[in-house]
Amino acid sequence: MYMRIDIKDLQKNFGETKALKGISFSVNQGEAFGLLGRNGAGKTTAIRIILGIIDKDGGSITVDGKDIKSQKLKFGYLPEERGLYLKYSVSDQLIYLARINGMDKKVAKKNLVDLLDEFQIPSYYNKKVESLSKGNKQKIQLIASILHNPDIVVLDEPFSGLDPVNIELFKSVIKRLLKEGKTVLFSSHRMGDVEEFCKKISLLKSGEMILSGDLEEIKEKYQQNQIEINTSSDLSKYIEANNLEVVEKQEKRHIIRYRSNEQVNKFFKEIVTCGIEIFKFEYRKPTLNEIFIKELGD
Amino acid sequence: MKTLCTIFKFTYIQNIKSKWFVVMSIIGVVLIGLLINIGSIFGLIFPSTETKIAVYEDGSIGITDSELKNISTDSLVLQKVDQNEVNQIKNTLKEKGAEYKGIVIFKDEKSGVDFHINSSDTNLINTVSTFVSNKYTLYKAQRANIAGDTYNYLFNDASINIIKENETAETNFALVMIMLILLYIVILYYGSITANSIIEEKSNRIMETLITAAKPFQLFAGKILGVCCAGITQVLILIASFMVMNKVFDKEVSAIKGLDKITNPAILMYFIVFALLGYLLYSMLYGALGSMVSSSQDAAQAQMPMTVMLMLVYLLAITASSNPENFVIRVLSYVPFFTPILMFERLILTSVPGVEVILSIAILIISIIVIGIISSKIYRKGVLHYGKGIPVLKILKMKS
Repeated sequence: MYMRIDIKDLQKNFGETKALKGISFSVNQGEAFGLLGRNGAGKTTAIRIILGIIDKDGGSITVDGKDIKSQKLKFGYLPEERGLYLKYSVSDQLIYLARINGMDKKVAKKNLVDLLDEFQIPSYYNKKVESLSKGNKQKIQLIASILHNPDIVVLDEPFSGLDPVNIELFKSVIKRLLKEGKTVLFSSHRMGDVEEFCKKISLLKSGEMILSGDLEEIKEKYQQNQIEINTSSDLSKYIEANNLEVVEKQEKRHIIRYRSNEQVNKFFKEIVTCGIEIFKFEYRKPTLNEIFIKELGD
Repeated sequence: MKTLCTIFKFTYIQNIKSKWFVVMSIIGVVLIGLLINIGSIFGLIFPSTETKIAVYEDGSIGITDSELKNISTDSLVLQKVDQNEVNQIKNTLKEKGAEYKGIVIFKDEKSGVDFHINSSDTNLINTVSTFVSNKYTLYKAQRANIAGDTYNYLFNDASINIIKENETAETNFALVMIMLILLYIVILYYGSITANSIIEEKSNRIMETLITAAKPFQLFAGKILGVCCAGITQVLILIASFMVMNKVFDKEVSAIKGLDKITNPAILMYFIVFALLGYLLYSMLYGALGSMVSSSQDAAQAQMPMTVMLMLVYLLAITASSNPENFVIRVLSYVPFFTPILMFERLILTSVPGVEVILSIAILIISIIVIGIISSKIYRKGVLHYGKGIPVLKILKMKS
């Protein structure tokens, strides 16, 4: 058992290209961590170094203070570019993958039957992968990355190409993994999904880490002094009277910018006193998507 | 080691379970069956028919019926005819279903002998011509009053005793050709299976998953050994089916001279050793080349250098079969890429000292180790590289 993985000043060069210019972050056991960035930002390079596929040029990766290579942790990896043996049967290749990951054949068989049940495809045990639909291939791929009971699961774009029902199924499996104390490392473009799982994130741009830490704290930092009110009444005279600014208005939904909390308190008191029916009132925090676009958009 | 064994076992089982393995084994067994029964099959396709040749002479030469019967065979019958039949036979020679295919007409001394024939069978023409020529020479000798002894002295063949010192070379020629084709196929076929299977793992992107679980060297070595054992299994199936069919059909395989020696333990052992080492050497190169391309479309292109190289060695071996002790061939048989085929050829066709065989095998094994190290380095760096092919030297210089 381990408690914490620390990545410090990770560097990697490919010839003249600096793919990673010193990234650092920490993940506790049982936590989900989001590694975010646009294509080519260095996410896959960082993942490959953590998985031990390629060597780093600088920095350190430690588990509870000891080098990760000495810790014999088991990794599960769902690569962005999915890949399976198309001509082989589901059970042949999944048991093979579990075995080269060090799992006993009998245990692998039992785990496979359980996972196929969990993914609602128990009849696919002997089917050839080429005969499966895209969504079912994705399920097999996720099973391949968790069948051998890994300590750390790295999921690169886990929900891409899935229908909403399967997305929910995948999410329920990931939640189970987190409950069981697995550490999950996300790399994704679907910010909504990352927000749902990750308490901590890192934002990469051209190999540099431009943002890292607790998601709530980051959102606080990116606060834009906005409130959202949903109502069917006309608010224009109250907004004007309190010197507020309408940022966006869509039917019942109003996004309003304020300068001070006193302004908001006064405005709120007024509309309540006047008996205006309010469906929703909240201090608006930026979504991760907005932060992503703000930081990484051209 | 456990991981390597798992990869080896998986590669081996998936290969022998593959459709291609089953199809190729069946084709191989059928071909062996055909080869063993080649004589009977030829007999069925081209049944021997009796060819009748008419012989006419006015009695002065003195050809007897028993003489004609003596030189007749199952397929050739010589028969005396009368003068009144000559024209009719001559005229009907070209007709379909004619009784006679040819006619020999001994004329007077000035005009010699006419031989009308409606066949292009050179064997038949030669047999009849030799008989006619001998008969006619004897007739003329008698006319010139040359006594029997003098005639024999003049016209009988000089007694040349041909003692073939290269008996092994001659009888083993067919064997060498067949074994060389087998060696060539084993190395080329299984080498390209190795390359294709690496390209497949790369192009369907399972490589990323595999390389997370196992070291590149384990994946590379497991694959090469797995395919190798599948190859050995297939060759053993073919050899066993040869032995069984040989017994069942009870044919004289020596119809193809020397082919029965295929079951000779020493030759089999050399074949297996050289096929194994040849496969290992070439498959490592095939594997390294396979790891450098990303899609199956590039597979043929990547394998081209090895295929050309192997064809060159094979052609050289065919040329060398007439003179296997040629200096260049002797030198080349120590060069690792040539050893599996050329040294094997020399071993069967001539007698090669044991030291030379051991030396060539030692050089081959050392080369396999060196090429194995280089190839697994290329593989390690090549498998995660997608896109345009990169030069070998650049790959070797690349940091992982």
